[in-house]
Amino acid sequence: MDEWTKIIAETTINEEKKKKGLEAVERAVKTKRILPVPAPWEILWGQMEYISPFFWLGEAFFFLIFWILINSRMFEEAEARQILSFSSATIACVGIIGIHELHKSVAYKMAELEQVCFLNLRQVWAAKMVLLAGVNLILLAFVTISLTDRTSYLLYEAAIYILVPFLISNIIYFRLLLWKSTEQGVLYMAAVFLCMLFGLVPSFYKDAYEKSCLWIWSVVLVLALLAAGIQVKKTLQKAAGGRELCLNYH
Amino acid sequence: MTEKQWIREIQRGRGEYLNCIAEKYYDDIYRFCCYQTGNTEEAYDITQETFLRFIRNVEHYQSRNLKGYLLTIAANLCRDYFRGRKTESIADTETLSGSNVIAEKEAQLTLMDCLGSLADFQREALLLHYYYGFKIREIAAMTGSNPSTVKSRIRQGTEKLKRYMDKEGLNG
Repeated sequence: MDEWTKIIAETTINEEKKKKGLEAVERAVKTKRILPVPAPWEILWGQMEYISPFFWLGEAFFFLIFWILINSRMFEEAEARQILSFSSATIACVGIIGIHELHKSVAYKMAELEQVCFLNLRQVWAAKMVLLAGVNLILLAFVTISLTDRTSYLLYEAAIYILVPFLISNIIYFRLLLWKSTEQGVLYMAAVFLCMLFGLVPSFYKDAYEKSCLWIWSVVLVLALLAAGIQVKKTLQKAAGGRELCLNYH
Repeated sequence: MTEKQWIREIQRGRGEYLNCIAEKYYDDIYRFCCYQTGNTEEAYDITQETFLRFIRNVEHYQSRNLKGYLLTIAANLCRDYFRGRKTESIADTETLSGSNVIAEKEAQLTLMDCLGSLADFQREALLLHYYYGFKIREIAAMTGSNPSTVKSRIRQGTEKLKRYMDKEGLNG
């Protein structure tokens, strides 16, 4: 096979004809209008501009709450179980800040405005979700590490106990996000209240935060991750088909 | 600048880097078209059309293998050429001799003749695999077939080509 590949490699090309061909390409390039396609990091950076001060203030508020409480005398004297249940109840409320931010991208006119910036709705939502999730993960990491410092729980245990209420509350908020209702504000408030209560429920069971029950938490975590993944995927699919465009129900 | 950087700049709106791509890959695309069609004149036209088509659809380019992408366009254009020439044999002596033919060396003419005796899809698979070095699964993706089909095309094409080349004294 080497012989014939060598023959091909040595095939001469008529330089005059090649030049004509390249000139035709050059003419086509001159008349071609290319619309810029932003890189993924450019999309994320661009979307940062659209994230409202309310979101940053809300996240900062929760950071502050945890920081104050974790360093307070109340936490020093409380049992590990109480600390965890309080943290769970509080972390269940964090997701509402991000959902409120996402909600702006389904509101009338906002989606159309964001689309003009060379992005489609799916990219806008995906970028926002990545950014909001990133900030929330930083908060979760802070809470988890603080809990391991203050209690006898290991890092992975604390992470599971915190992630479960966070994920479940976000799944509920996300479902409400796409629910077209004139009473959405009331629904969100009710959801936040219920999620807080849910975060407190394990504290009613003596062994809820013991190692013997860790497997239950792990199973719930895996299911919650699957449910969240499916929800995000379905939302982005709807956005790609334009079905979430211009939700003019306000 | 690397090829990746060219693509990045093109996607940012700087179309002049398309000329760099055309200059870099012109010879490769021409050689493919030349031996795939067996018609050196048409090969220039198809090569030019390959780049023009790439330019028209450059916003949708997402492949990581630019050469493979361009060769896929060229292969599709060659198939269109064959569809338009169903009644004529690929290794037409009129295109292989006379002033139309650039390839002066006899070996090139003979090779063209040998390759011309293969089926279009066998010839395409052999060129992509042996000359351009693409793997079976890459060729399968480029040609829209499955790897086992590509493997069998390469095997059968290789056997046939070896027989012809032995007959013409091109091997070894």
